[in-house]
Amino acid sequence: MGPARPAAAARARTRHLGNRTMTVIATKRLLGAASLLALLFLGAGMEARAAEIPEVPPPTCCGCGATGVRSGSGYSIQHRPGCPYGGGGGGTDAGPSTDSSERNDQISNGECLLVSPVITVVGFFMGGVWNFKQLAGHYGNQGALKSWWKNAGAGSDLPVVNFFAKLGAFPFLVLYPATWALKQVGLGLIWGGEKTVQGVAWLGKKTWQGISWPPKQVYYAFAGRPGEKPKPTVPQLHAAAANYGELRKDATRVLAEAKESREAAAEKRDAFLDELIAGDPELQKVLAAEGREAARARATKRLDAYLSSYRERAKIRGGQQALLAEMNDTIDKADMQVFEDVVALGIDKAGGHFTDKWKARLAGDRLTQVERHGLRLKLNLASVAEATKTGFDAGNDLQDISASLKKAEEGDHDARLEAHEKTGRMIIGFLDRAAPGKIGTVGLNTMDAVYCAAAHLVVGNQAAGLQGEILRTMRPREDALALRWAKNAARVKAAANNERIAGIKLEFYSEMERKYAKDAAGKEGSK
Amino acid sequence: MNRLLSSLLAAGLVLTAAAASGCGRKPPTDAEFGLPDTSEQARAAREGALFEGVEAMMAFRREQLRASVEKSAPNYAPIRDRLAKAVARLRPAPGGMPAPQLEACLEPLETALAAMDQVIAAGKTGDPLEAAEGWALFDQSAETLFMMLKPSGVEKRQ
Repeated sequence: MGPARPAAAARARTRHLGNRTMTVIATKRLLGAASLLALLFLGAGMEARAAEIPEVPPPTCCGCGATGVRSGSGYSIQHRPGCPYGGGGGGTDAGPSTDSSERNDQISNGECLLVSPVITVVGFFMGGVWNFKQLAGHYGNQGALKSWWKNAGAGSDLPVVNFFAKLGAFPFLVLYPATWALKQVGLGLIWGGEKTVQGVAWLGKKTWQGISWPPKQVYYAFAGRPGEKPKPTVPQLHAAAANYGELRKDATRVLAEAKESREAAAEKRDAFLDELIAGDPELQKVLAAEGREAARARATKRLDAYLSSYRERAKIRGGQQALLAEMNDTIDKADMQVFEDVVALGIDKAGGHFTDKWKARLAGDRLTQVERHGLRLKLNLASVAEATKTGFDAGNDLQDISASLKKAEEGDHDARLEAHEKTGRMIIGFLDRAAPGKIGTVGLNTMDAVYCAAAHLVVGNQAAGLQGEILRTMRPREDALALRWAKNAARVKAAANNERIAGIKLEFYSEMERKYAKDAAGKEGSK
Repeated sequence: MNRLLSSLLAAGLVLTAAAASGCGRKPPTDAEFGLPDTSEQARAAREGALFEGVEAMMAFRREQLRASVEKSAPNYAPIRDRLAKAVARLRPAPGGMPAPQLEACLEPLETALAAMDQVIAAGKTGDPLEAAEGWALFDQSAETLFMMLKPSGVEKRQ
């Protein structure tokens, strides 16, 4: 029994130590649960206070002095060799340690029954925590039952502890649907309160706007309607009246001047009429028989007729002059063409390389019909000149035509006609000399030149006829009278128009002056 | 109760005063009202425009003389533009009141412009009668203008 005694003592010691360990564990758990409850119910501020609780020191063997090491949820002590509480007997300490845990469970379950009310109470609080967390969505989308089973209670290895903890937490599982409904109601109430606050705020804002901002009519009374011109001040009205007063004075002066001007123009017109009457026996008779006014009226009628006639003839003359300008332009071009032809002919007669050039150009295919015709004409004339071989004094004729054209350029119409005729005669004489011997060969070719010359002469003659017509239709005295009359009448008309406008403006300015003066007086009176 | 009423009345008065001072209708400026600008600068600008117009009229007459002496076509277009610009500068702004001296001179300048148009149109159609009428109107305008320029404006410059 010798060795058995120390072993029994060691077991007793171990049991004693196991009891102490369990007590420590239970104490720690209770403290942990309490601190959790404190955290949940008293807030995070209490966390620091909980952390300040001193940790329980690990158990120490009173036989060998070995210190317990944390193992799972408890402590295990590795006794030193020779320790009467499990260190001696050479490897005998492994067996007792395993047995001791089994014994610990058995003992702890038994002892747990003793603290079951406490565990139940802790479970109750932990159930409350679970309920709170579940409502807050802390456990995700888990179902309430599953979440309760996993998270409510102690979560201990000891089934007894778990049982009592779950038992304590069970009311919260039962109450969960009711608390969930309460939560929904609470959320609804919060939403409703928020909306109510918003509505009240909006209503308050609108009410304040209605109170603090005047209605449109009041606003218009102060600031005027949109688009309405602001009312001028009294000094501004006075200034406007003064401005229109000055304008009225100016307009009065302008009206007086315009009246004078019109009278002067009328006098000039009457003087002109009297001059006409004095120089005309027929009007003199009217003057003697019916008086000055009647004579002036008759003279006016006659001058109007002259003016009308001049106007009509001017229209026709305008057309004739345009036609004449066109013809002159045609003749000028034809003159230049013939002149160039003849000059080129003379040059070609001396040289001959021009004809080659013309032939080369004519052979080209880039010529217009007009250019082709011109070249053919030149070549025909050259060929005629070549064919005749007469003593044709081209130089003299050219000199003559050149002098005539120079005169024509200076505006001498007769010289222009003379130049046409000389050119035509030269060409025709040229052809006359060519025709007798070579009629069969050059006849057709020379027809172009004949036609060209004849056309020149005809156009020239037409232009001359037109010029003569213009000269024939001129009525120098009547036209001069008509022009003077037109000028006089226009002056009178313009002066009368100025006077009329000045009268209108004077009236307007006077009215505006009165209006602004009245407005200013009214505004001053209302103050 | 009386105290409440008096407080409300005072608040109402304060609000009305604020509305009157803040939103009250402001009187128009002289330019908005349409009064002519009487500053020295504006007066000088009007006088400048007047002299520009008179110069254009003189140039118009000179161009006619030059064309008749040189027997060439007159070129009235740039002179006409000058006169038109001068008239535009003299005219008051739309809705504005004309300045006294300005308004008196504007009328003959406008008739001179119309006369110029008639002369130019007659020159294009080759109608001497129309041209003569245009010149008569032009002379009349020039006469009226110089009669208008007789008082203050010219004397001041001299």
